[in-house]
Amino acid sequence: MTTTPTSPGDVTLGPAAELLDALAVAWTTFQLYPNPADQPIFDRSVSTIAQAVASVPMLVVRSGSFAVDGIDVPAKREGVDRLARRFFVHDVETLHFQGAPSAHELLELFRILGLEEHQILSAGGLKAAAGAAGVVALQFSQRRMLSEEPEEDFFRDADVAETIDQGGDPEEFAARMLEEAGRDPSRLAKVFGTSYRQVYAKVSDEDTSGREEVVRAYVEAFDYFPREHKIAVLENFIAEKDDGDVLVFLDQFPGHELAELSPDLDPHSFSLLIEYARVTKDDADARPEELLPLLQPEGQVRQARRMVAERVGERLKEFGAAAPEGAETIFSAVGRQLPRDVDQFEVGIHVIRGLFECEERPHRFRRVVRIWTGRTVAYIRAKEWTRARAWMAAVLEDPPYQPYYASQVEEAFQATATPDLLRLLVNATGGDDAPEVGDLLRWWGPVVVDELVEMLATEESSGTRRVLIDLLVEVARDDVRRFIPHLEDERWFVVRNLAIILGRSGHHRVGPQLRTLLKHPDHRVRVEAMRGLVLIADGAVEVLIGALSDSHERVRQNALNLLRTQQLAGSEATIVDAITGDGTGASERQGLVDVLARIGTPSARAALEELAGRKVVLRPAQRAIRDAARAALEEKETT
Amino acid sequence: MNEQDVRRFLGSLRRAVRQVRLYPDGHPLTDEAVSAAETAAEAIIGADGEAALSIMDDAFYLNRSLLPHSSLEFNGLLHEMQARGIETVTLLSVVSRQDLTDLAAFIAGTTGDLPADGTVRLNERPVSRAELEAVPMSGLRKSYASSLEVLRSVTGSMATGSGFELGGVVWAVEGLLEHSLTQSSASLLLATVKSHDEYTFFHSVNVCILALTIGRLVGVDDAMLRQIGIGALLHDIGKMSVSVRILQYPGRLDQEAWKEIKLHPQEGAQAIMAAGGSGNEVAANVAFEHHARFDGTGYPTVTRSGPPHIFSRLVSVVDTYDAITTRRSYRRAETPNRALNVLLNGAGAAWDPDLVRAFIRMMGVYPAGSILQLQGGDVMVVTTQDDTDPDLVRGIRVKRAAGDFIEPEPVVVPIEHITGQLLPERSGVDPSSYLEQTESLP
Repeated sequence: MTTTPTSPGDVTLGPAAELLDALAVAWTTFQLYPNPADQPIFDRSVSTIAQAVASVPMLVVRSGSFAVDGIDVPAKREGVDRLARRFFVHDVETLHFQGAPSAHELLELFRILGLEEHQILSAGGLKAAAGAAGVVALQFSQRRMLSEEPEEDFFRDADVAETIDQGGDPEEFAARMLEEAGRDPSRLAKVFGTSYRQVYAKVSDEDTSGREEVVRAYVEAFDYFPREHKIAVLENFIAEKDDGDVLVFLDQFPGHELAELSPDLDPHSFSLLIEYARVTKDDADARPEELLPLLQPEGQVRQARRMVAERVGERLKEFGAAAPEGAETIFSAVGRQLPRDVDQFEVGIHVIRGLFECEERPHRFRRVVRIWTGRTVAYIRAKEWTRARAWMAAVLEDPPYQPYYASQVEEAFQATATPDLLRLLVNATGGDDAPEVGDLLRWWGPVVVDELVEMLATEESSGTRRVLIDLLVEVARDDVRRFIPHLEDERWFVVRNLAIILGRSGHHRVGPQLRTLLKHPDHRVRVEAMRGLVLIADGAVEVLIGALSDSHERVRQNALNLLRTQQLAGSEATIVDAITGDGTGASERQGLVDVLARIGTPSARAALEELAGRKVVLRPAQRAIRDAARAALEEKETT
Repeated sequence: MNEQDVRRFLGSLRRAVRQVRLYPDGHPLTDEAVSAAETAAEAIIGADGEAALSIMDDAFYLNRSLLPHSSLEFNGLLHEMQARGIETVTLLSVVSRQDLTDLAAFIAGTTGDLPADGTVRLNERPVSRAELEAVPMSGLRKSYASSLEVLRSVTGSMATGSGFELGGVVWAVEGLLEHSLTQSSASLLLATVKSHDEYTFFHSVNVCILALTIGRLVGVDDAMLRQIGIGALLHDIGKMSVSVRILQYPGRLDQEAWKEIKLHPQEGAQAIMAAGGSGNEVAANVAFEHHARFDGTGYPTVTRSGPPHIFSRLVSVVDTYDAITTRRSYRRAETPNRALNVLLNGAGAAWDPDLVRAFIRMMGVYPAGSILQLQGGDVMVVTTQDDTDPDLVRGIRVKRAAGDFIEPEPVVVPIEHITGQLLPERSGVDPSSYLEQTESLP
């Protein structure tokens, strides 16, 4: 009879107390009487339990009591606490009555409770032992150990436990199976194979030690079989070599042991054995690889069989005989391969590249990156510039990692570039290792623009400023995007630096930004923006002529000076317009006459002559232009 | 005195200490360990009525006798006892189970109470150095124990994510280097010590010893030997990041599990690169490449311009040898001789043929630590190969045909008198426990 499990909320603790009292009485009776089932009190207890069981929910085992829903069951019999302790030490966590237990089930339960602890453990715990004894009305759950690494709660089948026990004496285990098979090889193969498969299948997945012991028991028993019987068993197993359970058994044998048996296998089994060896070759230890010589052409198989089966000691002796030279010669053969001087650093580069190449797990890849950046920083701090450069190059040049990790590498690399580290590098740019340091800064440059721009802003040494600007110019040649946000900086000198860098980068994309800077409030910024635009040859003449009307003299003067350095052929009309227009100051217009004279083209000369030949000029400024044009023409004629 | 009894006692005590830490009072696993300790204790006490287990200079002594192998095998327990200030444990017959439980709890640090029944007494009879057996424990064995401790510390640090210092590892390698150079035969014998519980630690120390020994023979200089040693000792450190369930899975692993296992070389290299500054790159490379094969296959898969570094190739050879000769959760152990055969088969493909030849030459046909069955059934442990005559094997006879252990005696056996090879587990012989006898051989 089975009952529906009852929840604690449905009941009072009364039935549970009644049941436990009855259980304790039955247990005490079991302990006191040789035939407890014959005692009326035992019968009464069984009946009481049967009546109460439907109303009793799951019982939690405590060290000296039973509880329901966290409340101790108020049992009266003193045997109850001993019973609870007994369950507790066997790691029973809960008891649940699935139905009324029979007298036989209770007797079996009490018998198991009376066993030595090691006997219960070897049976897989009380739960397993009770299950194996046919106690089904009462279900247990086992408590997890107080271990840091709790073991899984697994059930060990009685057959598994028995096999493990028999494995303790493999010779006896083998003899028993031989007897069961009537010493007939083919019957033994069936008995052995069936038994192995059945027991192995009963091992719980979590019972790793049980699995090991079961396989061990059969393998060691196999060793005690006569050769003829071994062959039969092996043929039986190799026929099912694709079965995982069977493979575990076969894997226990090294190749030479299987090879020793192989000459007596039937042809089909022999071919299966070879197939097994070929597939297994790639697995751990490559143990059956020794079988592979058997794969040679048919004519050589016999010899190959003999070779792999021969006594290893003799083979090793043959090996020794094949090498008549003495030990010194053998050792020196290796000695000749030894590198004279092992360069640890080079080996390290090999390792770090290898790690970058093979590490695919994101969290471990991050670790590899940290190892690499950490060592990079260490080399820089130690001012080992050559090593630092090589260490960085090992990863940055011809990257060994997968492309999708590129951004991760870059980010980590960027995070490493602290101001003090960059300062170390910048300060070292004038030293003996300048090329290496330069390379380091160049690699870092694109990712540390912000830091370098800030460093440039605060640097007092003009020499260091030059180094920084040169470095940033190189960076900007590849990519100017990181510089653009700095153009919004409120500090004029920062913006000026940027204008210098962007201009020298020669990058056409920065034209619009530099043009914007021509309107910057600070004239020093405007000067550099103008210079920059000239360098990138972005409408230089218009810019310079426009700058001649700037409010600040320095800007105008610089614009004029720059005009003198430019190739202005084709711009004569523009210059003449500027000279004759109203937007430009008198001195700048005179300067433009000089510029016009320097152009030297026929149209420039014609323009000069036109300016010089004007008859009527009313304003002094116009006269000054005419005079300047005449002077320029005269100078040209004299030269 | 039989050291086997002491080993049983210490093994049970170690288990009890572990159980006391993990489980509540009265747990059956604790009781079981205590029961075993009780039985072993009575065997140790014997007819004398009492026995004193002492600790001095990182070694266990029973009464006055040094217990060299137990000191190594239970090195962790020894350190725990020292940390609790225990110098002597006197066992009086009949030893009470409660006293043994109290002793375990005291060592575990779960209580400060001493055993109260009076059958287990702590520090009651302190011993002086002069009272103890004058024979010192092999320096090699001490170095081995120290290396284990260093590895425990390193892995403990890694487990907590705190990284580790290479200083301790360097120091451990120095010790092994010093002793393996002066006692190469003994070191090869000691390198057969195994532990199923702490496989990786013992395997790593064995690989380190073997790598240092072969490295020295082929002419690697001391500075580079240190690097090889560090790499060898830490070559499997990456396994700390592999799930224990996978490492101990007693069967064929699926592809996912294999994938995880195959990550351990790169994990190890990362750990060493992160822990060590400049100067330990060779060690990191050894960890990185110890599963890379000579023919360019293996793992991890990276672009290579040639075979792995020669030091990695060297460690790969000895790593394979020790792995094959050790029982694992997923397969049986092989005899040393069989392991050499595997190497021979893979020479030129998986392993550098010159290194395999040199290694086999160093180890001999029957390497030190081989357990051989002789005509007539006696069992011997090989201690060294005979350099003058390859047809002779030198060692010590340890067991009679009837199966009883005997006082070890030196033997030189013609190779044709060998009828078979045995595995330690099957024969009950632990080759490395005969180290001290080997060292005293002429």
